[in-house]
Amino acid sequence: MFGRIMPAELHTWVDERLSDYIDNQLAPGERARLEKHLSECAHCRTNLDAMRWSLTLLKQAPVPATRRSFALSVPATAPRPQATFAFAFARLATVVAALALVAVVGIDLFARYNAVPAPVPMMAPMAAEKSNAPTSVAIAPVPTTAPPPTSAPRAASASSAPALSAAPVVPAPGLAAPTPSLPATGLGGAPPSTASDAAKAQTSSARQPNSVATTTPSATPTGTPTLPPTPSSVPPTETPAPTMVAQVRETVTPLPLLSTNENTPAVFSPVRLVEIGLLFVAIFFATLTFLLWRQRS
Amino acid sequence: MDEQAFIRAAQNGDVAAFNQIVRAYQTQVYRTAYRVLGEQASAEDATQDAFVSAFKHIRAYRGGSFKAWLLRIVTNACYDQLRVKQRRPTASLDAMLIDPDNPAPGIDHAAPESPQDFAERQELNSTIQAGLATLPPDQRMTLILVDIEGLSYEQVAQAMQTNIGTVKSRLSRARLALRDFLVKQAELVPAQYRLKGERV
Repeated sequence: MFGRIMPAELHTWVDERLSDYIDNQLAPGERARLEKHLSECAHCRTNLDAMRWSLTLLKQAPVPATRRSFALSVPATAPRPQATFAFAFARLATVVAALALVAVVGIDLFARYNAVPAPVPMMAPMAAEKSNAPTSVAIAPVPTTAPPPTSAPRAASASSAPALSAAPVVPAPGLAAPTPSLPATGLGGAPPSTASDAAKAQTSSARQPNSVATTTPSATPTGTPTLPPTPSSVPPTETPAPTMVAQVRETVTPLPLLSTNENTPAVFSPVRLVEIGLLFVAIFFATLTFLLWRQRS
Repeated sequence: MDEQAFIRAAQNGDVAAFNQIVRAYQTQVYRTAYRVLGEQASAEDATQDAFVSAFKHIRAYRGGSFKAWLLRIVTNACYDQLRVKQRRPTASLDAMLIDPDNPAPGIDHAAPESPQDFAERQELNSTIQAGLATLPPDQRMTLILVDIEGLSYEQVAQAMQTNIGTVKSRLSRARLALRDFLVKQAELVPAQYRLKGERV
Protein backbone atom coordinates (compact mmCIF):
# COMPACT_ATOMS: atom_id res chain seq x y z
CA MET A 1 0.00 0.00 0.00
CA PHE A 2 2.67 2.47 0.96
CA GLY A 3 4.83 1.55 -2.03
CA ARG A 4 2.10 2.65 -4.38
CA ILE A 5 1.98 6.21 -2.98
CA MET A 6 3.66 8.65 -5.33
CA PRO A 7 6.31 10.84 -3.74
CA ALA A 8 4.24 13.96 -4.36
CA GLU A 9 1.26 12.40 -2.63
CA LEU A 10 3.35 11.11 0.22
CA HIS A 11 3.61 14.56 1.81
CA THR A 12 -0.18 14.87 1.72
CA TRP A 13 -0.54 11.36 3.10
CA VAL A 14 1.76 12.21 5.99
CA ASP A 15 0.15 15.60 6.60
CA GLU A 16 -3.31 14.02 6.89
CA ARG A 17 -2.05 11.63 9.55
CA LEU A 18 -0.14 14.03 11.74
CA SER A 19 -3.16 14.53 14.03
CA ASP A 20 -3.54 10.78 14.61
CA TYR A 21 0.22 10.49 15.05
CA ILE A 22 0.22 13.14 17.76
CA ASP A 23 -2.58 11.28 19.59
CA ASN A 24 -0.92 7.88 19.04
CA GLN A 25 -3.90 6.66 17.04
CA LEU A 26 -2.02 5.28 14.04
CA ALA A 27 -1.73 1.59 13.21
CA PRO A 28 1.77 0.18 13.73
CA GLY A 29 2.41 -0.10 10.00
CA GLU A 30 1.32 3.43 9.25
CA ARG A 31 3.22 4.78 12.20
CA ALA A 32 6.44 3.14 11.10
CA ARG A 33 6.05 4.39 7.57
CA LEU A 34 5.27 7.92 8.76
CA GLU A 35 8.25 8.05 11.11
CA LYS A 36 10.53 6.80 8.38
CA HIS A 37 9.36 9.57 6.11
CA LEU A 38 9.70 12.17 8.83
CA SER A 39 13.28 11.14 9.32
CA GLU A 40 13.89 11.79 5.63
CA CYS A 41 11.73 14.89 4.97
CA ALA A 42 12.43 18.20 6.69
CA HIS A 43 9.30 19.74 5.19
CA CYS A 44 7.01 17.25 6.89
CA ARG A 45 8.95 17.57 10.15
CA THR A 46 8.27 21.30 10.06
CA ASN A 47 4.60 20.63 9.49
CA LEU A 48 4.53 18.35 12.50
CA ASP A 49 6.28 20.93 14.66
CA ALA A 50 3.89 23.64 13.51
CA MET A 51 0.92 21.50 14.42
CA ARG A 52 2.25 20.84 17.89
CA TRP A 53 3.01 24.53 18.30
CA SER A 54 -0.55 25.53 17.34
CA LEU A 55 -2.01 23.07 19.82
CA THR A 56 0.23 24.44 22.54
CA LEU A 57 -0.93 27.96 21.82
CA LEU A 58 -4.51 26.80 21.90
CA LYS A 59 -4.01 25.33 25.37
CA GLN A 60 -2.06 28.36 26.58
CA ALA A 61 -4.68 30.83 25.42
CA PRO A 62 -5.98 32.76 28.42
CA VAL A 63 -9.04 31.37 30.05
CA PRO A 64 -11.95 33.78 29.65
CA ALA A 65 -13.29 34.82 33.03
CA THR A 66 -16.96 34.92 33.86
CA ARG A 67 -18.36 37.48 36.24
CA ARG A 68 -21.77 35.97 36.81
CA SER A 69 -22.90 32.86 38.60
CA PHE A 70 -24.97 30.39 36.72
CA ALA A 71 -26.58 28.78 39.75
CA LEU A 72 -30.29 28.18 39.39
CA SER A 73 -32.79 30.09 41.46
CA VAL A 74 -35.67 28.33 43.16
CA PRO A 75 -38.51 30.24 41.45
CA ALA A 76 -37.21 28.98 38.13
CA THR A 77 -37.93 25.45 39.23
CA ALA A 78 -41.12 25.95 41.25
CA PRO A 79 -43.62 25.36 38.44
CA ARG A 80 -42.02 22.06 37.62
CA PRO A 81 -44.13 19.83 39.95
CA GLN A 82 -47.42 21.20 38.60
CA ALA A 83 -46.34 20.75 35.03
CA THR A 84 -45.21 17.26 35.89
CA PHE A 85 -48.61 16.34 37.39
CA ALA A 86 -50.56 17.77 34.45
CA PHE A 87 -48.27 16.07 31.99
CA ALA A 88 -48.53 12.74 33.81
CA PHE A 89 -52.31 12.98 33.97
CA ALA A 90 -52.65 13.87 30.30
CA ARG A 91 -50.33 11.08 29.32
CA LEU A 92 -52.23 8.55 31.44
CA ALA A 93 -55.57 9.73 30.04
CA THR A 94 -54.24 9.35 26.51
CA VAL A 95 -53.15 5.80 27.17
CA VAL A 96 -56.42 4.86 28.84
CA ALA A 97 -58.51 6.38 26.04
CA ALA A 98 -56.43 4.70 23.39
CA LEU A 99 -56.68 1.31 25.08
CA ALA A 100 -60.42 1.71 25.55
CA LEU A 101 -60.81 2.61 21.89
CA VAL A 102 -58.82 -0.41 20.80
CA ALA A 103 -60.83 -2.66 23.08
CA VAL A 104 -64.21 -1.38 21.86
CA VAL A 105 -63.19 -1.60 18.22
CA GLY A 106 -61.83 -5.09 18.76
CA ILE A 107 -64.99 -6.27 20.47
CA ASP A 108 -67.13 -4.71 17.76
CA LEU A 109 -65.18 -6.37 14.99
CA PHE A 110 -65.20 -9.69 16.82
CA ALA A 111 -68.97 -9.48 17.27
CA ARG A 112 -69.50 -8.59 13.62
CA TYR A 113 -67.49 -11.42 12.21
CA ASN A 114 -69.08 -13.92 14.56
CA ALA A 115 -72.58 -12.61 13.91
CA VAL A 116 -73.00 -14.61 10.66
CA PRO A 117 -75.53 -17.22 11.64
CA ALA A 118 -75.13 -20.88 10.88
CA PRO A 119 -77.93 -22.84 9.27
CA VAL A 120 -79.23 -23.65 12.74
CA PRO A 121 -81.13 -20.38 13.12
CA MET A 122 -83.08 -21.08 9.94
CA MET A 123 -84.04 -24.46 11.35
CA ALA A 124 -85.55 -22.78 14.37
CA PRO A 125 -88.72 -21.54 12.67
CA MET A 126 -89.04 -24.88 11.03
CA ALA A 127 -88.69 -26.47 14.40
CA ALA A 128 -91.37 -24.18 15.72
CA GLU A 129 -93.58 -25.25 12.89
CA LYS A 130 -92.75 -28.84 13.43
CA SER A 131 -94.36 -28.72 16.76
CA ASN A 132 -97.70 -28.16 15.01
CA ALA A 133 -97.32 -31.21 12.78
CA PRO A 134 -97.97 -34.51 14.49
CA THR A 135 -95.43 -36.31 12.40
CA SER A 136 -92.77 -33.89 13.36
CA VAL A 137 -92.97 -34.57 17.03
CA ALA A 138 -90.65 -37.47 16.77
CA ILE A 139 -88.11 -35.32 15.05
CA ALA A 140 -86.96 -32.46 17.24
CA PRO A 141 -84.76 -29.70 15.90
CA VAL A 142 -82.07 -30.67 18.38
CA PRO A 143 -82.54 -34.32 19.05
CA THR A 144 -80.75 -35.79 22.00
CA THR A 145 -81.00 -39.36 20.73
CA ALA A 146 -80.34 -40.64 17.27
CA PRO A 147 -83.33 -42.23 15.67
CA PRO A 148 -82.83 -44.98 13.09
CA PRO A 149 -80.77 -43.59 10.31
CA THR A 150 -82.96 -44.78 7.50
CA SER A 151 -86.10 -43.29 8.84
CA ALA A 152 -84.71 -40.26 10.53
CA PRO A 153 -83.66 -38.29 7.57
CA ARG A 154 -86.81 -39.11 5.75
CA ALA A 155 -88.86 -38.18 8.69
CA ALA A 156 -86.95 -35.02 9.13
CA SER A 157 -87.30 -34.19 5.53
CA ALA A 158 -90.93 -35.09 5.62
CA SER A 159 -91.52 -32.90 8.58
CA SER A 160 -89.64 -30.14 7.01
CA ALA A 161 -91.82 -30.27 3.96
CA PRO A 162 -94.91 -29.00 5.64
CA ALA A 163 -92.78 -26.56 7.55
CA LEU A 164 -91.41 -25.22 4.37
CA SER A 165 -94.59 -25.20 2.44
CA ALA A 166 -97.50 -24.87 4.78
CA ALA A 167 -96.29 -22.54 7.45
CA PRO A 168 -95.10 -19.04 6.87
CA VAL A 169 -91.47 -18.70 7.29
CA VAL A 170 -90.63 -16.73 10.39
CA PRO A 171 -87.18 -15.26 10.16
CA ALA A 172 -84.87 -15.72 13.04
CA PRO A 173 -84.10 -12.71 15.19
CA GLY A 174 -81.87 -10.36 13.41
CA LEU A 175 -82.64 -11.83 10.07
CA ALA A 176 -84.50 -10.14 7.33
CA ALA A 177 -87.50 -11.53 5.56
CA PRO A 178 -86.83 -14.59 3.57
CA THR A 179 -86.07 -14.35 -0.06
CA PRO A 180 -88.80 -14.16 -2.61
CA SER A 181 -88.01 -17.69 -3.58
CA LEU A 182 -89.76 -18.79 -0.42
CA PRO A 183 -93.42 -17.84 -0.70
CA ALA A 184 -95.20 -17.58 2.57
CA THR A 185 -98.19 -19.64 1.60
CA GLY A 186 -98.98 -22.50 -0.64
CA LEU A 187 -96.98 -25.33 -1.56
CA GLY A 188 -94.23 -23.32 -3.15
CA GLY A 189 -91.27 -23.48 -0.99
CA ALA A 190 -87.77 -23.15 -2.30
CA PRO A 191 -87.20 -24.28 -5.83
CA PRO A 192 -85.28 -27.46 -6.08
CA SER A 193 -81.67 -27.17 -6.69
CA THR A 194 -81.65 -30.02 -9.16
CA ALA A 195 -84.16 -31.84 -11.26
CA SER A 196 -83.44 -35.04 -9.42
CA ASP A 197 -84.29 -33.36 -6.20
CA ALA A 198 -87.56 -32.25 -7.65
CA ALA A 199 -88.34 -35.78 -8.70
CA LYS A 200 -87.45 -37.08 -5.29
CA ALA A 201 -89.56 -34.44 -3.69
CA GLN A 202 -92.54 -35.42 -5.71
CA THR A 203 -92.04 -39.04 -4.90
CA SER A 204 -91.62 -38.45 -1.22
CA SER A 205 -94.57 -36.15 -1.07
CA ALA A 206 -96.69 -38.82 -2.71
CA ARG A 207 -95.58 -41.39 -0.19
CA GLN A 208 -95.96 -39.39 2.99
CA PRO A 209 -99.55 -39.01 4.07
CA ASN A 210 -98.75 -35.84 5.94
CA SER A 211 -96.96 -34.21 3.17
CA VAL A 212 -99.12 -31.63 1.58
CA ALA A 213 -96.95 -30.51 -1.21
CA THR A 214 -97.74 -33.16 -3.72
CA THR A 215 -97.39 -30.57 -6.40
CA THR A 216 -94.49 -28.86 -4.86
CA PRO A 217 -91.29 -29.82 -6.46
CA SER A 218 -89.35 -28.31 -3.66
CA ALA A 219 -90.93 -30.34 -0.90
CA THR A 220 -89.68 -33.39 0.89
CA PRO A 221 -86.41 -34.10 -0.58
CA THR A 222 -85.33 -37.18 1.23
CA GLY A 223 -88.46 -39.38 1.36
CA THR A 224 -87.40 -41.58 -1.51
CA PRO A 225 -85.78 -44.86 -0.91
CA THR A 226 -83.16 -43.96 -3.46
CA LEU A 227 -81.54 -41.56 -1.10
CA PRO A 228 -78.61 -42.99 0.73
CA PRO A 229 -79.23 -43.56 4.40
CA THR A 230 -77.81 -41.06 6.75
CA PRO A 231 -74.96 -42.42 8.76
CA SER A 232 -76.08 -43.39 12.19
CA SER A 233 -73.32 -41.52 13.88
CA VAL A 234 -74.60 -38.24 12.58
CA PRO A 235 -77.65 -36.67 14.15
CA PRO A 236 -80.36 -36.20 11.61
CA THR A 237 -80.77 -32.51 12.15
CA GLU A 238 -77.12 -31.95 11.71
CA THR A 239 -76.97 -33.89 8.44
CA PRO A 240 -80.00 -33.05 6.42
CA ALA A 241 -80.52 -34.62 3.04
CA PRO A 242 -78.76 -33.03 0.12
CA THR A 243 -81.84 -31.39 -1.21
CA MET A 244 -82.66 -30.15 2.25
CA VAL A 245 -79.16 -28.87 2.52
CA ALA A 246 -79.51 -27.20 -0.84
CA GLN A 247 -82.74 -25.59 0.25
CA VAL A 248 -81.25 -24.56 3.52
CA ARG A 249 -78.22 -23.24 1.75
CA GLU A 250 -80.41 -21.33 -0.63
CA THR A 251 -82.20 -19.85 2.29
CA VAL A 252 -79.04 -19.51 4.31
CA THR A 253 -77.03 -17.90 1.57
CA PRO A 254 -78.55 -14.52 2.07
CA LEU A 255 -77.88 -14.74 5.78
CA PRO A 256 -74.57 -12.98 5.66
CA LEU A 257 -76.36 -10.10 4.13
CA LEU A 258 -79.19 -10.47 6.49
CA SER A 259 -76.91 -10.58 9.46
CA THR A 260 -76.48 -6.85 9.49
CA ASN A 261 -79.12 -4.80 11.15
CA GLU A 262 -80.51 -2.96 8.23
CA ASN A 263 -83.00 -1.11 10.36
CA THR A 264 -80.25 0.96 12.03
CA PRO A 265 -77.52 2.66 9.99
CA ALA A 266 -74.10 1.34 10.99
CA VAL A 267 -72.64 4.78 11.54
CA PHE A 268 -75.07 5.69 14.25
CA SER A 269 -75.12 2.47 16.17
CA PRO A 270 -74.41 2.86 19.89
CA VAL A 271 -71.15 1.01 19.59
CA ARG A 272 -70.05 3.25 16.77
CA LEU A 273 -70.90 6.33 18.76
CA VAL A 274 -68.78 5.03 21.62
CA GLU A 275 -65.91 4.41 19.25
CA ILE A 276 -66.12 7.90 17.82
CA GLY A 277 -66.33 9.39 21.29
CA LEU A 278 -63.29 7.48 22.50
CA LEU A 279 -61.40 8.53 19.38
CA PHE A 280 -62.03 12.19 20.05
CA VAL A 281 -61.08 11.80 23.70
CA ALA A 282 -57.85 10.06 22.77
CA ILE A 283 -56.98 12.77 20.24
CA PHE A 284 -57.74 15.51 22.75
CA PHE A 285 -55.54 14.08 25.49
CA ALA A 286 -52.79 13.21 23.03
CA THR A 287 -52.72 16.81 21.85
CA LEU A 288 -52.72 18.05 25.42
CA THR A 289 -49.87 15.71 26.29
CA PHE A 290 -47.83 16.96 23.35
CA LEU A 291 -48.39 20.59 24.28
CA LEU A 292 -47.42 19.98 27.90
CA TRP A 293 -44.34 18.07 26.80
CA ARG A 294 -43.24 20.96 24.61
CA GLN A 295 -43.85 23.33 27.47
CA ARG A 296 -41.68 21.22 29.75
CA SER A 297 -38.89 20.89 27.28
CA MET B 1 -17.30 16.87 46.60
CA ASP B 2 -19.15 13.64 45.99
CA GLU B 3 -20.41 14.37 42.54
CA GLN B 4 -22.62 11.32 42.31
CA ALA B 5 -24.34 12.21 45.58
CA PHE B 6 -25.10 15.70 44.30
CA ILE B 7 -26.36 14.25 41.05
CA ARG B 8 -28.69 11.86 42.86
CA ALA B 9 -30.01 14.66 45.00
CA ALA B 10 -30.53 16.84 41.94
CA GLN B 11 -32.43 14.03 40.29
CA ASN B 12 -34.79 14.15 43.26
CA GLY B 13 -35.36 17.87 42.67
CA ASP B 14 -32.74 19.29 45.05
CA VAL B 15 -31.84 22.62 43.47
CA ALA B 16 -29.15 23.36 46.05
CA ALA B 17 -27.38 20.11 45.19
CA PHE B 18 -27.54 20.93 41.51
CA ASN B 19 -26.08 24.36 42.17
CA GLN B 20 -23.06 22.63 43.69
CA ILE B 21 -22.61 20.90 40.36
CA VAL B 22 -23.02 24.24 38.61
CA ARG B 23 -20.26 25.84 40.62
CA ALA B 24 -17.96 22.93 39.82
CA TYR B 25 -18.50 23.01 36.08
CA GLN B 26 -19.47 26.59 35.24
CA THR B 27 -15.92 27.67 34.40
CA GLN B 28 -15.41 24.79 32.01
CA VAL B 29 -18.80 25.22 30.45
CA TYR B 30 -18.39 28.98 30.03
CA ARG B 31 -14.90 28.54 28.56
CA THR B 32 -16.21 26.07 26.01
CA ALA B 33 -19.11 28.28 25.09
CA TYR B 34 -16.82 31.31 24.80
CA ARG B 35 -14.41 29.51 22.47
CA VAL B 36 -17.26 28.27 20.31
CA LEU B 37 -19.23 31.51 20.15
CA GLY B 38 -16.41 34.03 20.37
CA GLU B 39 -18.15 36.58 22.53
CA GLN B 40 -18.99 36.94 26.20
CA ALA B 41 -22.71 37.73 26.04
CA SER B 42 -23.58 34.79 23.84
CA ALA B 43 -21.35 32.53 25.88
CA GLU B 44 -23.12 33.54 29.10
CA ASP B 45 -26.53 32.96 27.55
CA ALA B 46 -25.50 29.56 26.24
CA THR B 47 -24.02 28.62 29.59
CA GLN B 48 -27.16 29.58 31.49
CA ASP B 49 -29.37 27.78 28.98
CA ALA B 50 -27.19 24.71 29.25
CA PHE B 51 -27.49 24.51 33.03
CA VAL B 52 -31.23 25.09 32.99
CA SER B 53 -31.61 22.34 30.40
CA ALA B 54 -29.32 20.08 32.38
CA PHE B 55 -31.47 20.43 35.47
CA LYS B 56 -34.64 19.74 33.51
CA HIS B 57 -33.16 16.57 32.06
CA ILE B 58 -31.03 15.50 35.01
CA ARG B 59 -33.16 12.38 35.38
CA ALA B 60 -32.10 11.29 31.91
CA TYR B 61 -28.52 10.91 33.14
CA ARG B 62 -27.92 7.19 33.54
CA GLY B 63 -24.29 7.13 34.58
CA GLY B 64 -21.00 7.37 32.77
CA SER B 65 -19.06 10.57 32.26
CA PHE B 66 -21.13 13.40 33.67
CA LYS B 67 -18.75 15.89 32.10
CA ALA B 68 -19.39 14.45 28.65
CA TRP B 69 -23.14 14.40 29.32
CA LEU B 70 -23.06 18.03 30.41
CA LEU B 71 -20.89 19.12 27.49
CA ARG B 72 -23.35 17.48 25.14
CA ILE B 73 -26.00 19.82 26.49
CA VAL B 74 -23.54 22.71 26.17
CA THR B 75 -22.89 21.73 22.56
CA ASN B 76 -26.58 21.89 21.76
CA ALA B 77 -26.93 25.22 23.56
CA CYS B 78 -24.02 26.65 21.56
CA TYR B 79 -25.50 25.44 18.29
CA ASP B 80 -28.78 27.11 19.26
CA GLN B 81 -26.94 30.37 19.88
CA LEU B 82 -25.15 30.08 16.54
CA ARG B 83 -28.45 29.60 14.77
CA VAL B 84 -29.88 32.65 16.52
CA LYS B 85 -26.84 34.69 15.52
CA GLN B 86 -27.18 33.58 11.93
CA ARG B 87 -30.84 34.53 11.83
CA ARG B 88 -30.44 37.79 13.73
CA PRO B 89 -26.88 39.10 13.60
CA THR B 90 -26.29 41.42 16.52
CA ALA B 91 -23.43 43.40 17.94
CA SER B 92 -22.91 43.41 21.64
CA LEU B 93 -23.15 46.85 23.21
CA ASP B 94 -21.37 45.58 26.27
CA ALA B 95 -18.41 44.66 24.10
CA MET B 96 -18.21 48.22 22.87
CA LEU B 97 -18.22 49.69 26.34
CA ILE B 98 -15.14 49.65 28.48
CA ASP B 99 -15.82 48.54 31.98
CA PRO B 100 -13.30 50.18 34.26
CA ASP B 101 -13.58 47.27 36.64
CA ASN B 102 -13.00 44.78 33.86
CA PRO B 103 -11.22 46.47 30.98
CA ALA B 104 -10.32 43.17 29.32
CA PRO B 105 -13.23 40.79 29.52
CA GLY B 106 -12.43 37.20 28.85
CA ILE B 107 -9.07 37.38 30.51
CA ASP B 108 -8.31 35.79 33.81
CA HIS B 109 -7.00 38.52 35.99
CA ALA B 110 -6.21 36.27 38.91
CA ALA B 111 -2.62 35.67 37.74
CA PRO B 112 -0.30 38.64 38.45
CA GLU B 113 1.47 39.76 35.29
CA SER B 114 3.08 42.80 33.76
CA PRO B 115 1.18 45.04 31.42
CA GLN B 116 3.27 43.77 28.54
CA ASP B 117 2.45 40.19 29.37
CA PHE B 118 -1.16 41.12 29.79
CA ALA B 119 -1.23 42.77 26.36
CA GLU B 120 0.49 39.82 24.73
CA ARG B 121 -1.94 37.37 26.28
CA GLN B 122 -4.83 39.48 25.09
CA GLU B 123 -3.32 39.56 21.60
CA LEU B 124 -2.81 35.79 21.68
CA ASN B 125 -6.39 35.29 22.76
CA SER B 126 -7.62 37.40 19.87
CA THR B 127 -5.48 35.51 17.38
CA ILE B 128 -6.59 32.12 18.66
CA GLN B 129 -10.20 33.21 18.61
CA ALA B 130 -9.81 34.45 15.06
CA GLY B 131 -8.35 31.12 14.04
CA LEU B 132 -11.19 29.21 15.67
CA ALA B 133 -13.72 31.43 13.90
CA THR B 134 -12.42 30.19 10.53
CA LEU B 135 -13.43 26.63 11.38
CA PRO B 136 -16.88 25.13 10.78
CA PRO B 137 -18.87 24.73 14.00
CA ASP B 138 -18.46 20.96 14.13
CA GLN B 139 -14.69 21.09 13.69
CA ARG B 140 -14.42 23.98 16.13
CA MET B 141 -16.41 22.14 18.80
CA THR B 142 -14.37 18.96 18.30
CA LEU B 143 -11.07 20.81 18.58
CA ILE B 144 -12.20 22.62 21.74
CA LEU B 145 -13.51 19.49 23.44
CA VAL B 146 -10.35 17.48 22.70
CA ASP B 147 -7.52 19.98 22.96
CA ILE B 148 -8.94 22.45 25.52
CA GLU B 149 -11.33 20.37 27.64
CA GLY B 150 -9.27 17.20 27.35
CA LEU B 151 -12.08 14.82 26.48
CA SER B 152 -11.31 11.47 24.91
CA TYR B 153 -12.50 10.50 21.47
CA GLU B 154 -15.26 8.40 22.99
CA GLN B 155 -16.46 11.21 25.22
CA VAL B 156 -16.45 13.66 22.35
CA ALA B 157 -18.41 11.18 20.23
CA GLN B 158 -20.95 10.92 23.04
CA ALA B 159 -21.13 14.67 23.53
CA MET B 160 -21.57 15.38 19.83
CA GLN B 161 -23.72 12.32 19.16
CA THR B 162 -21.49 10.97 16.45
CA ASN B 163 -18.98 8.16 16.00
CA ILE B 164 -15.26 8.04 16.74
CA GLY B 165 -14.30 7.98 13.07
CA THR B 166 -16.10 11.27 12.50
CA VAL B 167 -14.43 12.74 15.58
CA LYS B 168 -10.98 11.80 14.24
CA SER B 169 -11.76 13.21 10.84
CA ARG B 170 -13.09 16.51 12.18
CA LEU B 171 -10.20 16.82 14.62
CA SER B 172 -7.59 16.24 11.93
CA ARG B 173 -9.08 18.83 9.62
CA ALA B 174 -9.50 21.33 12.46
CA ARG B 175 -5.90 20.97 13.59
CA LEU B 176 -4.57 21.33 10.04
CA ALA B 177 -6.70 24.44 9.45
CA LEU B 178 -5.71 26.08 12.73
CA ARG B 179 -2.04 25.31 12.10
CA ASP B 180 -2.15 26.81 8.63
CA PHE B 181 -3.96 29.91 9.94
CA LEU B 182 -1.51 30.55 12.74
CA VAL B 183 1.46 30.00 10.45
CA LYS B 184 0.08 32.49 7.96
CA GLN B 185 -0.79 34.97 10.74
CA ALA B 186 2.43 34.41 12.61
CA GLU B 187 3.08 38.12 12.76
CA LEU B 188 -0.03 38.48 14.90
CA VAL B 189 1.27 36.00 17.41
CA PRO B 190 3.27 37.61 20.23
CA ALA B 191 6.97 37.11 19.89
CA GLN B 192 7.33 34.86 22.87
CA TYR B 193 4.74 32.54 21.43
CA ARG B 194 5.98 32.34 17.86
CA LEU B 195 7.18 29.14 16.28
CA LYS B 196 10.89 28.70 16.45
CA GLY B 197 12.81 27.25 13.55
CA GLU B 198 11.80 26.81 9.96
CA ARG B 199 8.64 28.34 8.57
CA VAL B 200 6.15 26.14 6.71
